[in-house]
Amino acid sequence: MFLDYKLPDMNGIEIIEKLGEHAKDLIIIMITAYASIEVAIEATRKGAYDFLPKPFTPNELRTVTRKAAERILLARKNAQLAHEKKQVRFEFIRVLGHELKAPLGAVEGYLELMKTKTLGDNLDSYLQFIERSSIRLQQMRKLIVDLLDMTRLESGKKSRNLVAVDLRKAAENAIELATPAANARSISISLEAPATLSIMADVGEIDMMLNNLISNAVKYNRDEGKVMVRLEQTADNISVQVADTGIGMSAEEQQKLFKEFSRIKNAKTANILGSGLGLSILKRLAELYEGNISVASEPDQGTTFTLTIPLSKCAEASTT
Amino acid sequence: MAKILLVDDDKDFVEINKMLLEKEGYKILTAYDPTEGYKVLKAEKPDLLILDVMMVEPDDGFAMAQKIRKEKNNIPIIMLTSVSKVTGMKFDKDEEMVPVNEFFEKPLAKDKLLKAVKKYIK
Repeated sequence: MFLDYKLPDMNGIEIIEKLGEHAKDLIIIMITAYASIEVAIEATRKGAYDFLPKPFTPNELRTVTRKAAERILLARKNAQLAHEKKQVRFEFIRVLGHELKAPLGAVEGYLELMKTKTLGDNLDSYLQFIERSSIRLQQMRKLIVDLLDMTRLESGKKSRNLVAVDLRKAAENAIELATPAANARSISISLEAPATLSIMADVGEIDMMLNNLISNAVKYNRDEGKVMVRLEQTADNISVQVADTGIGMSAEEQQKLFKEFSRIKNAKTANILGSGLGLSILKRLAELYEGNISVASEPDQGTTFTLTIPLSKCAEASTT
Repeated sequence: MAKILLVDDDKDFVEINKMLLEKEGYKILTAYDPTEGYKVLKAEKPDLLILDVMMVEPDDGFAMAQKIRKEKNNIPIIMLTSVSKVTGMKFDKDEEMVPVNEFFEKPLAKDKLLKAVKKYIK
């Protein structure tokens, strides 16, 4: 709105005052022949965006108008971004709510079956219910832990302590952690790595990344399958490659992989527990090191995840 | 014996309700996704369908109900959801979008479920 200062009944500033709250949604440019600093300041304070002294040249008018138009565009863009962010958040909470309610519903259901002694008086008949309930609760706990990890990463408040970490040692530890689950299904895990591979990193973050990759490779494997962990240092990068011989996934499924809660649900994954947050945490962690995580997969053949971190980001004395 | 088909991707949910309803003397068929559910529906012609809204995709249950009605199949459908409370979205029966006979929030207490089932299986 171009608003003249000197008007028959009221002046421009009085109009801005009258507009009150509505003035906020408008871009007001005051035009006046009585250009004085005071009027300009007062008009701006009351909500005018700019000021154009009379007489003005077409060029001046053009400049002022362009400035205002740019501002309108920027404001619209910001509003749209804020709206999209809200939508993403809304969707996240919706799915999270569902993921948290489902295990509670299952446990409540089993408790109800026990309370009403659906299967008679013998306690042994109910062991299966108890087993299923504790699996669902475990899963729920994992979801909450992952959620907290992710929130901490997002907030940037997690204190990071960068020290020299031996990646080989860290990988060995992660493999040890995954071994019971692997043994239970006769899956073998191999490691191929230099004798030591030292990088500057946060121990907790490195463990989280390796545990995530290796436990996934076991979870989504077939019985008697293989997990191959390979650490490598090239001239520019350090790479961690974890390959499995598992169920794999289609190109379409790979696209959705790193999104929150995008756990791929199909007959093959129906009995595999997961929070649906592991890979989005992994991606965020990789970003902290300006690294990258990529996936190559073939249905029923296996999947290979490759984490690459630029040496410049983690080079300590990357000797050996 | 009246046959009820339960379709839900939550294995435990299916197991629990199967047990509850079997105890009441119904024959229970189960499926864990809409495609499988649809096959069982065609093959077994159950008397009642209990359907979850959210399976692989957020609106799988709606899609399945719409498909069934499009084929002029008037099997009673009880739809269960765990989503509306969280989103504040109010789903309800709707001839076109949600062509079902009953719509309930999960978890559904045993008595309410049995009452709803008895209403449609005489």
